[in-house]
Amino acid sequence: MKLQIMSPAADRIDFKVPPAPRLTSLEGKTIGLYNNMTGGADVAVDRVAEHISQRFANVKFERYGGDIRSGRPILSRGVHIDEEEASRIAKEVDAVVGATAH
Amino acid sequence: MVAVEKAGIPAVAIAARSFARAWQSCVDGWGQPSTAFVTIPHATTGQQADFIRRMVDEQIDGIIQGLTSIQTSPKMGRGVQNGSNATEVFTVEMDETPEGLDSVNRFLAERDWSDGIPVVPPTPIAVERMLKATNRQPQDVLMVMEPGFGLATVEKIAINAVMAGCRPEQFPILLAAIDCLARPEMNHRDMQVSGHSEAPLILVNGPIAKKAGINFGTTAMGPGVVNSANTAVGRALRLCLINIGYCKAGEGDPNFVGLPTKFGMCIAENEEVSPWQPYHVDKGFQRDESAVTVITVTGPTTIIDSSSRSPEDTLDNIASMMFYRNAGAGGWLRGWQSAQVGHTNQRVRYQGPYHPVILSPSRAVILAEAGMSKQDAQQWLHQKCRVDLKSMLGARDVPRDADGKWLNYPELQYLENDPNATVPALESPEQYLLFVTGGTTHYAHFFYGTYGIATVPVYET
Repeated sequence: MKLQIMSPAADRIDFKVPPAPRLTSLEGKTIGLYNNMTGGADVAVDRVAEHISQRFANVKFERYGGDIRSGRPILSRGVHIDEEEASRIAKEVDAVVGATAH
Repeated sequence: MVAVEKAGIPAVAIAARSFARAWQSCVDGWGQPSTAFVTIPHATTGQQADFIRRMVDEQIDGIIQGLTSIQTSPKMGRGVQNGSNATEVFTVEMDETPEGLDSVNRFLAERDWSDGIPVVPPTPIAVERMLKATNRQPQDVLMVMEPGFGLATVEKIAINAVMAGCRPEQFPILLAAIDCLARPEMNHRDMQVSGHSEAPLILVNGPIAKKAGINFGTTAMGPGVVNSANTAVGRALRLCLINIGYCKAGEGDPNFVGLPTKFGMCIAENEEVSPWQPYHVDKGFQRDESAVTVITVTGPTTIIDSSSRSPEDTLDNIASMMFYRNAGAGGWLRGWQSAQVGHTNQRVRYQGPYHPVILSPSRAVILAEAGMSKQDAQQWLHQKCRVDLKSMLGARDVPRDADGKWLNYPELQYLENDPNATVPALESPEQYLLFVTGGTTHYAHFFYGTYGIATVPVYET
């Protein structure tokens, strides 16, 4: 017996985001450290900063994700970076390392 | 991280190894399968700092490489479908052998189009019959379901409803449940992709419950033929989340262990026996209108209330089950949560969580007989369920300005100076969602609400 069945799988919106150009070196660059305010993510990105500082000269860091950090109200608390924030981050730093605790 | 790459600078993420497939699935859906990430053996949450540092140490080369070279794009796990409105129809051979009887299920399982339990074959005739139960058009899109950004057309929902064993008279309830998920304040993305285990609970009110055969008496949340409508509607929503939202086990769905309630939960209020007005009337509907509420929850925990002899006893007993520090108690002082919607991550503030308390009619009656309205009971729980402020702030601080002043509720900051200060666990009494159903005996269920909640009307033909 032949039975016809319909596909239950939905069509998907086909987003395409090309990867950003990579850096040739981290020397002299400003790196964004993003944690989404879930447990331990700040520790993880701070450790990344320690390593990068040891390997590359004149690297600076900007920290994101701190709604409880003075001077940085309401930026990506436990949620994803939105387009407006990403655009602001892209003006302030050359690259981002993020941790989400998961 | 995809948003950062989209803005033009390189990004690398650090994720726990058990989330690797989920991460890849999400960035596939976001349109950049080559997004760089490294994995560490365990999630950082709840770990000691030295251990986290050691895990990062082992991945630092990968992190630097991710910033300086583009990763090889992995093959997309599943083909991205786009454009055509014509639903694919497949022909499957069946016969009376054990293999032949199972051929439809094997066909679906090979494509990861199932919840793992045998389904009713979604034949064109069965789907057409389902579609007759709504005035909506088959290609109407109710929402874009994340994390896969799948188009939730009425037809795709109907196909999944057939698979779940729904009857046409139950279809309007399922469509309303999807309407709930479409509301930004539902925060359906986090419900889908969180590592935390939670599931949607469907609450039905109004005449549709009886018409659809939803059991609102004894065993309503359990197995059995009498509960087939409850089971089918709840299951159908899960199949939609899997097949339309692409929330596949271990991929879009990275729950650390999952929950049996994720197979589906649908109950209706026992409006005939409850001493109080139904929940949908609290929300502004008429009693003879039908409404569906969806709320994301973990749990439940059964509350045994056999020793209570007064309304205070019962409420004390319920309150005693409710809170531990990490369950978000007092979190309202940190401000409302944010849902994020769509590819732009548009942020929408919403109040949460709502904690459903499923009361046996017997437990509602003990309160009502003492003259207590539902709102009185909610107010009581709001006042009595409290959290130690010092402990809450110690777990995670509240947002402050540069001078240390609270950004939210500055009028309550004076409480910081009182070491014995407590605050209500939830912001408002309505967040204790009292829903009366089931057999009438001395029990209640308590669910921890996690993300959003929405209530919408049911549209019938």
